[in-house]
Amino acid sequence: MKYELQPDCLAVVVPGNLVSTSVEAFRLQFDGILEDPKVRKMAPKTMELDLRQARQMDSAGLNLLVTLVKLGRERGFKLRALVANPTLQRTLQFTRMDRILDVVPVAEPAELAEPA
Amino acid sequence: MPGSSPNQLSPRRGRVLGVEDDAISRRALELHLQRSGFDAVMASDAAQARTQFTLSGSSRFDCVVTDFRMPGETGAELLTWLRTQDATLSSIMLTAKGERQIVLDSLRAGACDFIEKPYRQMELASAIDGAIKCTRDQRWLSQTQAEALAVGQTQRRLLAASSGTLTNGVVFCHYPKHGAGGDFFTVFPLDQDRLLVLVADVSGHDLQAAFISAYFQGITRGMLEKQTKITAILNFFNCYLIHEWNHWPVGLKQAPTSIAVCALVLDRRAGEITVFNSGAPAPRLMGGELDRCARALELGGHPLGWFEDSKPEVNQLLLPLDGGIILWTDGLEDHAHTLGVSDWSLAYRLLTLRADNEATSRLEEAPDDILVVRLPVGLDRQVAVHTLLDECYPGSGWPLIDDFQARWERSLKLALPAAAPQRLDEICLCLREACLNALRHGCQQQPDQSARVVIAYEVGPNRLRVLIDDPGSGHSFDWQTHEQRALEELIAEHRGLSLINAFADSVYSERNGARLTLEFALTPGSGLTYPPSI
Repeated sequence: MKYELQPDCLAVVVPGNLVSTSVEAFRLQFDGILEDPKVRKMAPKTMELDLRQARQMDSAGLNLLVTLVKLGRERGFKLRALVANPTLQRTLQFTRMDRILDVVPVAEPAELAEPA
Repeated sequence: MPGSSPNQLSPRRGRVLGVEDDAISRRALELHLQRSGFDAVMASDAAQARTQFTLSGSSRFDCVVTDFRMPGETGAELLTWLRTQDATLSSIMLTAKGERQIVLDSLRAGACDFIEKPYRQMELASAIDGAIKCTRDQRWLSQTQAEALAVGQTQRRLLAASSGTLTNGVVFCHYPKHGAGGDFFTVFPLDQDRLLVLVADVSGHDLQAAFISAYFQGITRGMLEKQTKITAILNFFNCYLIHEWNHWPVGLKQAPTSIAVCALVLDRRAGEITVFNSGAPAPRLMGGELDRCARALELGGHPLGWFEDSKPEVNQLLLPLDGGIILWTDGLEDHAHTLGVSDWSLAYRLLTLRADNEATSRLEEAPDDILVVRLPVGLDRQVAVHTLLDECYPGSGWPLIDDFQARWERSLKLALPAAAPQRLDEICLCLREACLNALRHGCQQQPDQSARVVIAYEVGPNRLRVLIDDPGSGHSFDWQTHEQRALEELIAEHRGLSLINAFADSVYSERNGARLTLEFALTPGSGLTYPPSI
């Protein structure tokens, strides 16, 4: 996972679906990012997850988001998710995740958009 | 067809159109052709060659020998035109020594050979013999293909006539791989209350298979008219294949001809179905109850023509009050496997395709003949619910959930091409959650425990119904209380169930959730709420 420290923001690009078969690998990577001394020193106020490459998220992926939200409450950062896929947007809306994190609808990357 | 074998030349070696602009070379070519025993017709340029070709009528040329460099059109341009008129006609290009590019152009234009000038008579005659053989092979093949298509058209007319589509509500899709094939079915009323449906698949998918298929159909109908019992008919044909048709020394060089047969007798008065199966895929039941017992029909027996003492497996079950029975030949299963979709979804797509170019082009990749037949069994003669997938997954298979989900997506998108892909993605996401729960908890990840997934399409309301059933005892808890806590206290448990509740239009839970039935509307504004309100 690529990440970048911006003013008051830790931006992380999630390169695929957050589902049961991938979530453990992502969990380890998030752990590594959040333990990065530079990240700890900067103590960003926001963690922005770029989920534009994700088509779907199952309960395991939702639980990872919940873990990050909880961690953010402990460390003092808010979670923001950039979401492009309509199914993913609806998943976050229907499971009320949009009440505990900031869901920002964005345009789908051109290379991922399905032809009409 | 006497005398039309592709390997024999007529007494004259063949009719050749020679095209050469130089008068002396043209005369020399004509003499070479005549001395070698060919009927020669000469032309001085491409235009004259076109005229000769057009005037030839039924006296078709067997070969064209043309110079490349001529005033006006080149030899390659002439060959391109000739290919559009008669794709079976072979040709030879005459070139000067070292004209490699011309040779390449000629081959692209359809020439089957080339000869460098100056040439010897023997060399020319040998090349023409090869070209003529090629022409005759192509014509024989073309004629055979046309005959196969004609046989196929006759087969389809016979199938339509014997299916009784108007009175019995039978729907079928027949796709022989080579125009005509060995798959067939027939519907035969035994009396006022009893109907026989017979689906059969002759081994091979060629004209021989079509011939045996027609013979078997004729014999069967004749014996049925004489009120012969089904088992006696099958036994008769088994003996016929073994003792007469396959009567050669047993060996590995030639496989014996066999016929896989499934015969169903629907007895509406007795309220039962009797199945006679000799090596065919099991017929399947489908209807309002998603897990309707199709497994009772899964009995086999050997195909006819294998063993003298083999008997069809016979099985009886009660006639359901609604729904239908579907039968298919193994070509459908092979093709579904190639496409990575469920048999059911391919069957539904084939039964509903109407001038669908995409589906038809997919059929061209099929490795075998395909036949699917569906008939209603209920009193209303309707099949309102069509199964699209019915599969069992072992508990130990949960790490393969991505593969399962991809298969569900492919199957649904094939069967329901008009459905919104986004909605199908949501349905498959719910199915993933439910199936993972069933495999991990209901089956405890054990290889000898399995979860069953059934997806059915309700045609009228345009709705999918999904059943997920595992052998576990489920988990009892207060869903309403839990959902509130899950949100407020950010607890992780049962988030999959919240996701299912959010996307499904209705959720029926039995055995503490070990058996879930979900309904998903595919049309916004249908009877159920879509999207669900929160």
